[in-house]
Amino acid sequence: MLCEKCKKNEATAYIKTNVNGDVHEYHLCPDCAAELRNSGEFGKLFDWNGLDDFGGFGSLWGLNSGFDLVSSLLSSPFGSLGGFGSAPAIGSGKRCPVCGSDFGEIAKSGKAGCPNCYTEFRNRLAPTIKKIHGNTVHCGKHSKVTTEQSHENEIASLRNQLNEAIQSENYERAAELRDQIKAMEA
Amino acid sequence: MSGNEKNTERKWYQTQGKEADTVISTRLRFARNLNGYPFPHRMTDAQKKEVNEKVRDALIGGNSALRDSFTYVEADQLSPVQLAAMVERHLISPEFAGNPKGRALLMMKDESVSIMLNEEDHLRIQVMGSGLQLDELYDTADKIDTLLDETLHFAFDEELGYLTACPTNLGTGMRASVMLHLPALTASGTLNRIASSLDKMGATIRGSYGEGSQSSSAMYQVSNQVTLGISEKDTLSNLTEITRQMIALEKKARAGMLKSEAYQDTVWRALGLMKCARVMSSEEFGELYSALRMGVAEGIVTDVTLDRLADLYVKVQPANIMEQYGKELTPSQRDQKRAEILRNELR
Repeated sequence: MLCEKCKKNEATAYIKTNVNGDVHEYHLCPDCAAELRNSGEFGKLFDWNGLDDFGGFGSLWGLNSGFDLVSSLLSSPFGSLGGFGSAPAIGSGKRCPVCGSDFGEIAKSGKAGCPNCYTEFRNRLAPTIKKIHGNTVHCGKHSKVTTEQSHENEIASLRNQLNEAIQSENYERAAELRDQIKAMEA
Repeated sequence: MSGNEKNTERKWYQTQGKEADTVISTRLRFARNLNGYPFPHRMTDAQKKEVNEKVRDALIGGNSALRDSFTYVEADQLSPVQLAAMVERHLISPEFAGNPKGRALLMMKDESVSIMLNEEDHLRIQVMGSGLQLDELYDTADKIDTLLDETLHFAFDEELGYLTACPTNLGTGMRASVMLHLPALTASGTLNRIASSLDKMGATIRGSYGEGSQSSSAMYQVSNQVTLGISEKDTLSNLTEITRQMIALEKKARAGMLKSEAYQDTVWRALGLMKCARVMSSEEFGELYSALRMGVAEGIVTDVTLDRLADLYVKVQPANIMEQYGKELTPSQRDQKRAEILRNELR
């Protein structure tokens, strides 16, 4: 698709704005997207600083290049790309018991209120997380405590299976499970 | 650290790293948070204070192995000039410097590790080094992270990984970035094309390394975009591969450029102006610096080294100039001081 503005280059940036229900979509090339960003028009709508911890002092002096336009837009993802716009909270009005955030506040700020919000609003946040990262789950380093917890959970689950095996007199399976538990506890 | 105390420890950027002719530096950061507290944008002052103290005690309290390696400073104890100078040295983000209240910094004496407290996340653990050294920096960041996790038990979810205020950082919470000097690719105008192909590889490139420098000094940062569903190891090897390709492209482009007598002349003129000028704007400095750096990297100029140039680069940034002279200066006063520093250093 060609850039809607210059009609010369390939459009690589997709921008959707929703200001009080007034929705606009743009497909732009990196140059035009940068120009738009530098013009300040979009600066009013979005928090450009979200991803800028590695932007050095470019943003302090207003000198960022604009290469990172799309990723910067994601700095307010629940608002700008999540399709919620600046709409007020809809639905049950459920609040996170730890920080008191409701879903409308999260959508508006583009930030979760606290770590527990990801559990509390998991289903409603999932589409946005999927848009940013793809349909995927974490792989890589695990927090030690959580890893220990999941290790314990796994042992607990094996113990349950062991009890069931003994009750159903499946002794072969029970012996297998007993060895597995022993190995995991070692 | 008091406001006036001078830290004379040798800094990380005063040492030359691997691939220094094209790679200026590498940075890596982990976003981490504590369970049971709101993220900083929803925290009360009292909660911020609590988190600051918890992290401080976990890192440098009691019998911690790192007790003597780090300095703790509350951001509102620093002057605006000190904060801006720290931004220029990449110790803190512009966002952190802009709203210092309730925020604090844990910093290693050589400035290679800094931990911002209560920026967007409760902790931003950042490690920096000269040249290309993604794996080495990862080891350092990983060790600090593991040590802190033992006491602080970072917020983590089996599916979403480390939980962060902004969902763009979920997963590893890791942003790795390589700062490249690409004067030949800038001159040949091929960088925009490269930028769009990097996007497909999950990386992003942006210019910025100081006042006026992104257009004039040909320095760019390449960093990973995605943090969920890709391990730290794969992220780093992907970024290393991208960096190697960019280095190869730059070197190829340089080979052609260096043959030109006109370019060699540009390098020598840059050195001449830096040694003699009485007034120098940061824009002009950026351009001259880029030419001279490439001249030194390619062996045209041999009486200056790349690590000395890196040190010089920091010294002539606007807030660092003011910090050295201990007072606020107007832009034109800074331009005079910049020229003065350059003359003294390159004499």
